[in-house]
Amino acid sequence: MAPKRYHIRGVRLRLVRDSDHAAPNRLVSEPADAAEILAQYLAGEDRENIVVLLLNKDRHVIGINTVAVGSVSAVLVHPREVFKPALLTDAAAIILGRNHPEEEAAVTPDDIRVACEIGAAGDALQIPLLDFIIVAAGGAFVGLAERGLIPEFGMSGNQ
Amino acid sequence: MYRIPVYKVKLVKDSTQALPIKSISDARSAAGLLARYLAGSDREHLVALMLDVRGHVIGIHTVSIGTISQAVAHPREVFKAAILGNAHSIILGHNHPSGNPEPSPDDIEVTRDLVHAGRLLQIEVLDHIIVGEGERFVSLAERGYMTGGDAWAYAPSGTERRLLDAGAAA
Repeated sequence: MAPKRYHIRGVRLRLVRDSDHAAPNRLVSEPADAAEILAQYLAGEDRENIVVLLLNKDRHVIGINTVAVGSVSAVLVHPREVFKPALLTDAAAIILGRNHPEEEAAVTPDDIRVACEIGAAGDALQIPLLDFIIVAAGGAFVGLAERGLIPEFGMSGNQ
Repeated sequence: MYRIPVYKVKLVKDSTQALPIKSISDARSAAGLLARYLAGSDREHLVALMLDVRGHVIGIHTVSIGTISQAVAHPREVFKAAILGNAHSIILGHNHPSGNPEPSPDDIEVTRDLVHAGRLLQIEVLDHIIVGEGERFVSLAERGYMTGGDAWAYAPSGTERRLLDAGAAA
């Protein structure tokens, strides 16, 4: 009798260009540049979104991907979802962004935890997290790295 | 104005492949699968078995061919397929063409680095199996190399220390 065999589904993963986002600038040389792109991209969203900006080695934004929608707790942001688009586009670095539907860009402990987890994972993959930026409805923003609230990733020199 | 592409990631069903076993229950079943997959290789192949949350094999990925050194077993390459394939955990495997499955110091060091990276990426490395001649194999998990107690002890730098400190401060 022939041995029983199980079938494994073969899947392909495709990066689909969904739309284009017109931005005034695609070079990110400081957090304000990233905040501007994020604020525009997330304008009018009624709930929290976590977005990843994909950067090339010249710090140009080569893509945007929405990672999670809803409330931002660490369980909802698995490194896998952040790094899927980064690996598929061969991104050299990433910036995470989150909107705050209110006027003030308040930092929560969850933001710091997510940033640290994703940053450490990024170091393992050699795709450093440059910053985690929270943008408020009114245009105000906070960069966690800029404020020194998270360690500088990609600088540990352990690779 | 610049146009920045907005991306989505989509899964596309491609094909199916037959496999003799469905789930990995212990090191022996993983070793059997790896031995079949690597049979007849004249040089070292490093592969990753990708598992779902129930321990079913959802894919096999050849990471590198040649010698197993840190240079060719970089976390980026090891975990790339696991991340893209939604793996819950992975089992590493490689063959020793000499037939003797005893781990070298390099094998142990590479394993520690990858276990550490897996914890950061939240894709656990369950075992590293070296297959030798016939049915001979060594499971580094059985030898105690994957469960070093303190996950952070594997840290190659101060990154995790800072991570923990930042978490505590928050």
